[in-house]
Amino acid sequence: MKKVALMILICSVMAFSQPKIIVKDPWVREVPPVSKMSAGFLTIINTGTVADRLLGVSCDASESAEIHSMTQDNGIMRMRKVDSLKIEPGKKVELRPGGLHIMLINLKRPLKEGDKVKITLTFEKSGAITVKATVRSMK
Amino acid sequence: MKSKILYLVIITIFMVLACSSQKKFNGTIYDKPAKDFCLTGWEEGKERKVCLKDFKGKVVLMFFGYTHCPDVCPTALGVLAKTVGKLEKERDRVVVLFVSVDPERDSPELSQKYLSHFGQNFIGVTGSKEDLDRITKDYMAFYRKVKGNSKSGYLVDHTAYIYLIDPEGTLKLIYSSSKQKPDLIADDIKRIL
Ligand SMILES: [Cu+2]
Repeated sequence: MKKVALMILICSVMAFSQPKIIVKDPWVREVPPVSKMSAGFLTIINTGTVADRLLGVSCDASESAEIHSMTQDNGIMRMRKVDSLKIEPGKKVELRPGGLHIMLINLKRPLKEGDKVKITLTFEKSGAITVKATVRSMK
Repeated sequence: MKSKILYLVIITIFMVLACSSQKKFNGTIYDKPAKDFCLTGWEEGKERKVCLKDFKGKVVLMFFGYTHCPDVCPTALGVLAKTVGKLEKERDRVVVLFVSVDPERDSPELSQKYLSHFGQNFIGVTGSKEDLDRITKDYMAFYRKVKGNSKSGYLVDHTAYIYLIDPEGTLKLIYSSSKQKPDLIADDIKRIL
């Protein structure tokens, strides 16, 4: 009987100590039709109790996609590829202009304002999450 | 007592006058002659020489970037498109000049086609590495190719200032990224033109 109780306890603890990932406000930047590159932005929220890790990204509108960071030092903008992104429990990570972004590489079609593209985020624990991002004009 | 009050009134009037005549610009004041340069642009299906001095009499808003840039460059060009949109009669006397520092991937044709997306009077130019090195140095700008493991090929570190050159050919104002707002730039242009 004690064993069963312990099992239930362990199971319930395991069930609760999980990341819970929510992806909000995804959008993609409209770029001139001659451009092969664009960027996607969104907010990742972890409402769970343990951390998770974003391991990769993909997009149906581009041949490949990568997580990139952007830092500014002394007025110089530096963009770099990031291998993964840790999302702490109870925290959110914002991908936004001038900072982290999803780099869309070799667009398969021109992106026009209002178009929808699918972005899939693959997390270490939460698996794949696909969101529909709207293309926004910058003009 | 009366003279004291009169004195105060006069001082106040002077101060108000001094403040209102000293119109403040939103960009950082630089106020030195803009060094001329010539690069290659593209018009009506063929390459053409484009020099900064061709735009005398107009306000030139200049930016160094590259078309593979997914974030900073389209953002700045979007800001400049909105800036131009806020102008009225001044609009015909404003040119946006985008200098690509990535001639390996950006031909004059590609640069121009990229720029045309943002509006009329948006001009894209590029040139040899030697020319670009000299010009960026003259404008306190910086760019560097960085080989990385990105599938997008090499990346380019670069400064992202917007330069305002006035109709007399003076590099009047420089906007750092925090000052790159359509309202602020349009305000300065209206003051200059
Ligand atoms: Cu990027």
